Amino acid sequence: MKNRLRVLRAEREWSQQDLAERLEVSRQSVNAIETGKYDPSLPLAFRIADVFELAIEEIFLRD
Amino acid sequence: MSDSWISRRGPGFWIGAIIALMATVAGLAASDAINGPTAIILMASTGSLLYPLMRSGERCEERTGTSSPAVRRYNRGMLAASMAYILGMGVAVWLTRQAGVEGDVLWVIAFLPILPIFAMIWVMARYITEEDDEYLRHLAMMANMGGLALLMGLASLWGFFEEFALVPHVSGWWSVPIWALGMGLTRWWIARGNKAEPEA
Repeated sequence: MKNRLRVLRAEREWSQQDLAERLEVSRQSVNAIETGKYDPSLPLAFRIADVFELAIEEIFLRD
Repeated sequence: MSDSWISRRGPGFWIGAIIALMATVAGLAASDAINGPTAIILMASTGSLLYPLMRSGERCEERTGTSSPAVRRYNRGMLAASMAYILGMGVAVWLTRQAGVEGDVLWVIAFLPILPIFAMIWVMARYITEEDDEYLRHLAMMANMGGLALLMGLASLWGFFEEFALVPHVSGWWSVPIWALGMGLTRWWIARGNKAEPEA
């Protein structure tokens, strides 16, 4: 699944660590999701959406 | 030994130091340069290098962004179980080979290294249930699958070779070190392609 995490993070000038702290996950988790190596669970996807104040489908895109 | 001195050296340095020390002691014992009890004591002393190995591993986890409270509890649990294993193994070997203990008490002695191994399995199970970070839990599960694949593959291969008398017998206790090796190799393989940004 594709996602716009890196772009959204760059727009806010957040490092991976900044986002990881907001989501209460490890930096490695943020990197794995951002690079498409790991698809988050639905609860984590909702947390990501909340942090960016966007809908899930505005962050995660169908392949 | 200060923490900064430890952190400058990666886990590979400490693993190499432990292997080198064990090989040196085994070589000295094989050439009769040291007697049995001295060899056992020196071999057990390699356990003292497990603490700097754990600390350098934790620094590495912090750098690569794979640390969490559950990971730190897992590291400490594994350190305690590994030290108990080395101690239990040393005492068991000394009692059976040097002190010549025989009979039903051997059942009890055999449990000295077995119980710490059970503790290692329990520490791993507890980690998987306690880890809140779903990606780190996924990594642990993948590493466990890798360890299990290596163990089952090697055990089946060796078992049939042994069945046809092609290779010598290998003791069953090798299963845990092979499982751990498989987990380590899987973690390394996954980590190669997933490097997080450095700490801010």
